[in-house]
Amino acid sequence: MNIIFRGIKRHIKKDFKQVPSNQKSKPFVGVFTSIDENISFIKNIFSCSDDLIIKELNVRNKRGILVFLNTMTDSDKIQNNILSPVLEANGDQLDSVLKSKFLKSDNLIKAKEELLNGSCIILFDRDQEFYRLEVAISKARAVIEPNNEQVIKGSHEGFIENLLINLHLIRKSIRTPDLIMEHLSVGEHIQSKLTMVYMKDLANKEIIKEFKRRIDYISMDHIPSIGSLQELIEDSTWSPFPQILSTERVDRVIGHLNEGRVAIFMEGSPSCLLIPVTFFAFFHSPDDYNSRWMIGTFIRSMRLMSIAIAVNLPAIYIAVIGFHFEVLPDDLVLPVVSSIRNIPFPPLIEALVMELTIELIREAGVRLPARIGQTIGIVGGLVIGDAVVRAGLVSNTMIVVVAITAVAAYSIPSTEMSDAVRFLRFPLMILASTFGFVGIVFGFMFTLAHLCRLESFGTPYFAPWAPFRLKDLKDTFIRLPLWKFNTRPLDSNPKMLRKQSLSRGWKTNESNRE
Amino acid sequence: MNLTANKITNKQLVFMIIQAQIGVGILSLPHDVALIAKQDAWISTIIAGVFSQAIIFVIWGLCRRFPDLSLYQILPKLLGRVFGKILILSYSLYFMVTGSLVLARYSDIIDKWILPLTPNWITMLLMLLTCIYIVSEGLTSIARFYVLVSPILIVLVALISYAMKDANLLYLFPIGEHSIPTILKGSKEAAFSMLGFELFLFIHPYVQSSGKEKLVAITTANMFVTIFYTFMVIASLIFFEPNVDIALTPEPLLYMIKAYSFQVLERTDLFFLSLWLVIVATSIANWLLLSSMGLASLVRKKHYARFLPIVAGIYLVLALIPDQGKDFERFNQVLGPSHYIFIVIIPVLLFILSFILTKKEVVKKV
Amino acid sequence: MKGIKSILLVLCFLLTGCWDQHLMKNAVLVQILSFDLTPKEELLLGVSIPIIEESSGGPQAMVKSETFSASGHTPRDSRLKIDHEIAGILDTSKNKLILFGERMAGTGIYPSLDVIWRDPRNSLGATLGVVEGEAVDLLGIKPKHETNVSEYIQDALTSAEENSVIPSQTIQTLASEMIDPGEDTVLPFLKMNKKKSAVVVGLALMNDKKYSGNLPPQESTLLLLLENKKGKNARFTKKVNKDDQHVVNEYISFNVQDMKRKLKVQVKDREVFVSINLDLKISVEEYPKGDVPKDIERLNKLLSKELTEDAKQVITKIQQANCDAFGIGRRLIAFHPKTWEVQDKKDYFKNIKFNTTVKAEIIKHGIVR
Repeated sequence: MNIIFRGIKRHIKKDFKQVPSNQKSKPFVGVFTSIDENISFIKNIFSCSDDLIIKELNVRNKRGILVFLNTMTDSDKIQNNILSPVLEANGDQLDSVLKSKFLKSDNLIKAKEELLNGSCIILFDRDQEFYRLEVAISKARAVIEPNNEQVIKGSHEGFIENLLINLHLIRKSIRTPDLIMEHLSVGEHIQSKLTMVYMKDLANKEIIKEFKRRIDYISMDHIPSIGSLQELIEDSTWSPFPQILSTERVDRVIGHLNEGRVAIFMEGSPSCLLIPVTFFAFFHSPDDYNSRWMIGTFIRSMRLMSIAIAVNLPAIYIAVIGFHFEVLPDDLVLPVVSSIRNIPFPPLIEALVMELTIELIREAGVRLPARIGQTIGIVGGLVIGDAVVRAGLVSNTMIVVVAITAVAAYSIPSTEMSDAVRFLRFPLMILASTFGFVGIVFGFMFTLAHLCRLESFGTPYFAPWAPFRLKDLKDTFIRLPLWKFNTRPLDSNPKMLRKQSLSRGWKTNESNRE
Repeated sequence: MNLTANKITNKQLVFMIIQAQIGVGILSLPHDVALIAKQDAWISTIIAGVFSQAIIFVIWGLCRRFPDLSLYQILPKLLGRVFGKILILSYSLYFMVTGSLVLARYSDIIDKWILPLTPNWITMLLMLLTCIYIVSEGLTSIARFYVLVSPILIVLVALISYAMKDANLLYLFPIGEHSIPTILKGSKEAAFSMLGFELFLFIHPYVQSSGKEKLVAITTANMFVTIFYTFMVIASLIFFEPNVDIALTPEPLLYMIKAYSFQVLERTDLFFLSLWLVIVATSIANWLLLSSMGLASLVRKKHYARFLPIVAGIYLVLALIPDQGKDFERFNQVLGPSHYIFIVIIPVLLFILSFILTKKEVVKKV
Repeated sequence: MKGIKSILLVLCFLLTGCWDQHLMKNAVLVQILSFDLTPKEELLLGVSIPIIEESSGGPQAMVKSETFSASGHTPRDSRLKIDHEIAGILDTSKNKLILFGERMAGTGIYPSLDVIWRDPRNSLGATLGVVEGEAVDLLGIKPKHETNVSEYIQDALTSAEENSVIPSQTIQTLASEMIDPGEDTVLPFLKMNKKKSAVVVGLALMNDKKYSGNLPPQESTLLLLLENKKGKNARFTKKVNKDDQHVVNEYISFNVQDMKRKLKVQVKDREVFVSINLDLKISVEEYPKGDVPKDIERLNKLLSKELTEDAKQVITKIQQANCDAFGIGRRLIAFHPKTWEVQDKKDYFKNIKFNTTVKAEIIKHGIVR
């Protein structure tokens, strides 16, 4: 079977292997000398779309045209920034106005792109160049805290759908020339703007190179969202675990940039991708660092315990009820027996029904407006939960197990990881109902082996546990005091491992003085 | 898969060897040894550890002369292509037989203790699939996995130590009552459980460290295993009456903790057995790795992964042949001498031969 | 990854069968097993199973117990007969107690326990006990305050354990002791009294797997102290004064706070001498006469003397029963293997010379003098 699959894989590779699309050498069409030719060229490109506005403009007897897409531009800005300075300029001032305010270019293909980005173009008769100025409408929503990643303490800024503002938020927080932003574009037909952000002195060159290599292979017409981009560039899609961290929080991205990771933004998407990440990055929340370290450690270990519960608890329950009820302590046996005695279904069916119901309630609640969502919560949670027990379809203990599992699964800060964890328990439940504990152990081994094999952009996914690195444990399971974080974690292969020296050196100095 | 991506570190080597040595035998080792050496079984275990250390020195010496070649590459180099290939094939077969014996014993214990009605081939298949999955990606991920599951050994020690509260130290006395040949015979039994360090012969080129560091690593591993086994043997000796009782219980360690209950958990043996499965998986994964590596080098293929399903199939068939305790004994009788041949005699001969023929790998200075 | 594919494939055929599933809801849990010998020398197996009654509204269901019994050649044989009688599958994995009738225990308990050791699902955490008369009768008692018999007997045993009347042990810990030629076991000895409730009445002494005598509670406690197996408390009541107008004033009750035991085995000319020195630190719990400090010297002396005599009596009793509860034989094997060789393996314990001394010292007397 492995062979077959390998064969298929190779076959696929052969079929679709193609040369990386060479985006770097763009087609060039020079500006025509005749203005009419230019007009017809531009009209031709946009197929006389109705929002393409071409206005005649005569400045000092020089014939010119003003081209813009009125769906992308702000008429006030055109009036204030272009028309009034150009028309009011008298005599020789025009040239200096043009030079100071506008950017020059001579490629009409470039002009097309700029028009699509909301620029306005001025062309003069018999000029081999055109002038452009960005006058795009900026309709950005306010910078607010992302709904799905809220914190109690700390910054409440979140990214929005505007790339520029997102980059601004980053640059504002990291004011150093070492912060590099690289623009890329993907999509064969409709291009999407990507920006790669990293710290020059920290981020590993190999990762940046690898990322660009993968981006180069993308030959889709259009990248609909950052989620699709994620799927196209991640290491293994045959895995329930997310291998790229996507976040909408500014402070989270900044923290990761400082550990030498690379952030990727996409125009129109409020989330930012972070590479490379480890399994444990999905369990961190900025709250951990803003609260006291002991509490941070406690909360974090609770979260990691919650994966163990969310993945294993229903499976263990099934195994115990169906196979090894002798593991129950004496005092627990009779209560459990009395609750499950009259249930008509085998434990697997019982558990599956309840787990799937919870998933459905969640799914129904997500899409509905908040007011109806509450109703779903009440009907789904309370009514079904209570009625199902009273009807004798599902046992009390099963409800307890399912509820604990659900709470545990939703306490994981990253929704993607939470989804992965909730998905994983189904195969485990089936294994448990077939082999009992033995099945759970095999499922567990499979998961561990899978985690050991996974890599995210060349760094082991399950670091620092596999490969084991004691020093990096300080910020995974637990969060030691910040002044202990003298080195950056190794998993992102930062160029500079050292992060700080004695940050609380004042303490030792003080005692020396006395 | 290029070679540089497949390196493991010295620390990982320690854990790989430990996981290779500790395997299915851990449950029955105290019984097997105590059957012969009675209350002196622990002495036998230590002697077995010392004995395997001696072999480790030879193996290491052989590897040191060929720092970049695994045994599968050394064989044709020292003995010529034809004879070398025959030996590679026989090594590969030997690992298959040993591995499938381990597999059969695993399924036998599972059959006895937890899943009496589940067909054996299903539990074996489950194990083989898991092992294939662990092994198929290459040494790095294998090593990572082994390190990751090593804390289980500590949990096992903790569980056993808990049972010690009902132990009777008097069962250990009189120390040294049995004659030296009896004790040595006992250590023969123990030595079989210590096998696994031969893994070093095959993976040493992938370890990123100097020859001395490797020796330290493999010695550490062997020492840990010896201490671990000795602890387990002593634990079961002082828990069970060493003449009759331990002979009645083939898996003394499981019996020991069967009766203990904690606040939330009873039948600790099921928990122990579940953890033990992981230990068995790592050792079966090792045999799988070694035998498919052998086949791969036989036909000069770079990567062994495509041989895994074939080898696993052979394992399954071989493991299904013995189906009773008696068959195991017969199996073991056949296998006993072959252990000596493949683990002791051939490496020693090769070691001597490499001096006689003054063949040594030219160490490229990098 | 192809791994996931293979998982899916495995899952497909996993769903085809659950061979070993035994659902908890179908199991009839056995909580006590009893073994008796019928007059026809057949084995009478009794089981006590809990009957859960649906509670009306309350969170906790009521648990009662019911007894079934059947006779057969072996425990399994009898069990099969009971199995036919009840709905569901008998399951002994949560069994907590195994009781033997006096007659059954007299013929040896080991053979009937074999099945418990052999089946991996059986609980090795169960306690053993010997019952005066027929054990199966004890299962039928109807205690007032606790409707579940097994719970009731277990609680009785636990409190006896705490009071050092019986040692804390399970079948598991007993196995080695039973098999060991140099050691014998003692088991709790139970009795049904007239009010139809069970009482722990001391220890049953076993002579190599066979019941051979019993000890009353006070002597049991003393034996456990001599064995160095003190539970939480070890209480005694002794007569220390004479001819007081109130009878109560003649007695003292005390609890052993702390103890040290020294056991020495010496061999002279194939004869085995054992000396046991017991050093008890006691706290007075009841002394109606009052003023302990005044009497302390006298009490110490008197109690030491009384306890020494009691201890000697206990040892005589266990020697008569040939029950090597101290494991002297094991010590011989361990330290004097040559002497052990020449000993009579069966009756060696009877020939051992004991020298026992108990020293008692009052260290506490509560919050009054």
